[in-house]
Amino acid sequence: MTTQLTRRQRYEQRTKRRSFAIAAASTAIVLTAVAVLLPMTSGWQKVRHSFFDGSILRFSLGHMLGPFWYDVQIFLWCAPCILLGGLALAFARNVRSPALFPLKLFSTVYTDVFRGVPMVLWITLIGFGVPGLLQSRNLGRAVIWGSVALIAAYSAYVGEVFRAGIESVHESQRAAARSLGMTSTQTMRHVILPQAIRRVVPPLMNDLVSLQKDVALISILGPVEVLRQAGIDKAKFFNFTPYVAAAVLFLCVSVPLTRTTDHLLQRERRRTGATAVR
Amino acid sequence: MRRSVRSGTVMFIAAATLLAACGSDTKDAAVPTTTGPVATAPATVAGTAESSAATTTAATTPGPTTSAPTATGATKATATTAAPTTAALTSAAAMTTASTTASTTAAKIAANPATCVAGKTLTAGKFTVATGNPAYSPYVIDDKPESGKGFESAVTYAVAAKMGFKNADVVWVRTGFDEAIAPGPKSFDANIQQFSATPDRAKVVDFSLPYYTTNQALVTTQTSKFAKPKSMADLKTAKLGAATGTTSLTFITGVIKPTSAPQVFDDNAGAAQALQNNQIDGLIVDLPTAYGIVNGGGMTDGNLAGQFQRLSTEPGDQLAYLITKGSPLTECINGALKQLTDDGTLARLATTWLAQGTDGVPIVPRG
Repeated sequence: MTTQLTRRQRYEQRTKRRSFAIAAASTAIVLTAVAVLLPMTSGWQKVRHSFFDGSILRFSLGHMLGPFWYDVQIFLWCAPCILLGGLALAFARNVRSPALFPLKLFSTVYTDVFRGVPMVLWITLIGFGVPGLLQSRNLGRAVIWGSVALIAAYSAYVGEVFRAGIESVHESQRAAARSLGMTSTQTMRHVILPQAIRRVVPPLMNDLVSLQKDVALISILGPVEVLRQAGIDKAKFFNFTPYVAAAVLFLCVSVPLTRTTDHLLQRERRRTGATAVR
Repeated sequence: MRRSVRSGTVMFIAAATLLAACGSDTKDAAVPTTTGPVATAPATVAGTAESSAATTTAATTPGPTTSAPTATGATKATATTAAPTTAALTSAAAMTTASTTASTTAAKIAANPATCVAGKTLTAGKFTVATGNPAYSPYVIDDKPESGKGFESAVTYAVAAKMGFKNADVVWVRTGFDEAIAPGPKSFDANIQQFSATPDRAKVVDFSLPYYTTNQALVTTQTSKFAKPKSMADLKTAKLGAATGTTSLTFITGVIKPTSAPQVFDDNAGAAQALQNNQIDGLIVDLPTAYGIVNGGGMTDGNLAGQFQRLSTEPGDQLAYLITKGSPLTECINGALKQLTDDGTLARLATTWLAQGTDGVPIVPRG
């Protein structure tokens, strides 16, 4: 590698700079247009006051960190459970032995039922229903059954993602592994799953980001997490800025999450030698 | 990789724009520093001071004078007032115009509400009133505001009559809480669904004069160990619940201050269910609503454990019509409400619709 750039490298550098400049200019133009045009709408002053009140935003952000941490905690213990649950459902759906057909049937029905009902209904039904049966302060805590509802419903979505991943691995891979003398468990563990999971990382992240937001639905059951805190502040000031503050907090987690995944995927793609077509 | 860096830049710029939009504006309200109770309205002593409103508008009757907010009263007065029991209920309702509205400025009151309304309503000749969806008993009976049954429904027809509307001219619409306070054109002239007037809220919307002042009450199950509290201190260890955005919630966090964090629900139905499930010990709501929950089929073993004593420094929960900020209609509705207070109609309606529920409910003292 010499310090002297080749003609090709110089050309590429030039193109790179040029496209960066164009991107920056077009972004600046769009943002300026928004910044200029938005205040010209007739209701802007009202909307600005209702949604972007500086002092309320500062007030809300300050005392919403605690409630938001609560959301993140729920997310952190739900996510692994959902991944395991989803994987289990996908395995159950993929069993080939006739004797295990009931398992396959269960998985199919479970997925249909849990995906077919809105999340908010599951949380309400499980979160208010089960504690009603238990009549116990400790076991009936809203956060437990809210989490259970989230895990139960999200496992169904994630299970489908895993299933799609497993089915996307070409049949020849399985055949090759079996002909090398691997058992069907070994085939799944060492050949199919590694390829399947790599393929489904983007849709999985999609579900995790969506989970991170749906955690807020647990507020229906009583705990004061960030969405509820925002609602309380909204009712105190009759102002929607606290919701914007909550949105900012959610973005603080979900944007780095998606960026990191993108980064990991791209690195993985480079490592495995596949070319990213632009 | 390059791509993500670039979109990261874009996002950063977008975030900066958002922050700039929220940037400090000197006209912004002062930074609120506490989550304390909203009961910070200046106390008033009925009949001690001539209101500027009362003097500027020619009141037709020499009824109770509207007192101006006295700033010192809040710090001086420590005595307690009796909560509105049956006997006091009439006077409590009569006092509504005497008590201060949450608005920091003195309320404008039209002397003649009937001539005041001309051309000021959404639809000419109609008075469009919004209520909740659903509307709860005893404020609206059977979720049918147009029947005139239930306190808020009855008050609305009385107000409409004072403003010269026939019953058929009153048009009911439904709005949620958020819809009522969102910016943009409103679907109603006035909104009545137990909005408590507070100073913070009055910066954003207009409130009429209050049509009712109520206390907070405690609902438990019949077998609860908190079923008969001797004082508010008994509730320190209780796990309490309330509906979101209510003054009941601020009452828990600001006045009762129990050791465990309050549970907050979308509505009273959810809170009642949690109470039924033994997930919470008690539910805080305004007194008439408490009666509605215990007796309206919301709970099978509900118990109205008591209403909380109110200090004279506290304005109580002042229920008022919510009206678009700066609406010319506010003074007309105020005029009607003032006349209804002066001629005793409000007190009579309160007795008819609310006395049954608020009668003889034990008072839970402070301490």
